[in-house]
Amino acid sequence: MNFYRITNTNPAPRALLAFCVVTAAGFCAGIVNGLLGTGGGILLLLILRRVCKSGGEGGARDAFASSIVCILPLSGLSLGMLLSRGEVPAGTVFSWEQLPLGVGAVCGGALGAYLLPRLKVPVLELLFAGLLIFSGIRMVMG
Amino acid sequence: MTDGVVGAVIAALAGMGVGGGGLLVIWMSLVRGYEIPAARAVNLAFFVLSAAAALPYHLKTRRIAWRYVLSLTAAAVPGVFLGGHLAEILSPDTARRVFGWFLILSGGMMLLGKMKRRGRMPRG
Repeated sequence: MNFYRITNTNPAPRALLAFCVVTAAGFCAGIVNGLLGTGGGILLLLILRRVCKSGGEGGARDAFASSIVCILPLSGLSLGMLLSRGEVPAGTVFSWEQLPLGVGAVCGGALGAYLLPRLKVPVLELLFAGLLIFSGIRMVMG
Repeated sequence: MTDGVVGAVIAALAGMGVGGGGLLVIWMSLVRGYEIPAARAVNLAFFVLSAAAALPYHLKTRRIAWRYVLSLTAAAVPGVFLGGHLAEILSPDTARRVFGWFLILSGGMMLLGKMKRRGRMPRG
């Protein structure tokens, strides 16, 4: 489906269709994250890349940055559901043992945000494509 | 210490919005010997932290497309609950494989598109 060819015809249906596509995609991404515990963020980024495409290079960077805002509540909710189902004891996640990982997460997260406007978009897209294929292979292999 | 360095590298990818590709799950299960559900839970908590750390900078640089983010996130939240309930009923193995193939296809198409565009570029 060429999203832009359809949505560039008339402003009112265009906005409505964009809203419907984005909402449906968000719902599907949520289901994937809830069902598999991962992957929702990737789906969200794929749809954000499409809808932010008109912004050119800046739009591509906006898509990457925006996906983070979506992933934050999604990961938190998925974690809450995993813990509430009793599959994993909360002590495994929130323990002193994980402190180095937590420090790495905070420092690395901030560094990544700093790097986003400084890296070329093709490099970001290559990284994303590589991680997509890698994640896919991991899921297929079980 | 090694955990911190590995975490920082994966978090940098997450902070850029590229994602971690489940690298931390692999690290936690293969190197640290965690069971997959535990590794996945640590991975989710890790992503919450790294996204929270990246967010202030992205807000400062005004890179967030709020009009899409709000509707995407609002729609995703009930989806997570539905997916969570489905996980209790269904075996997620088949869904995981189907989604895996979808990711391989998407990544492959992206790389292919990139190579085609490079081929079309004038040399000079």
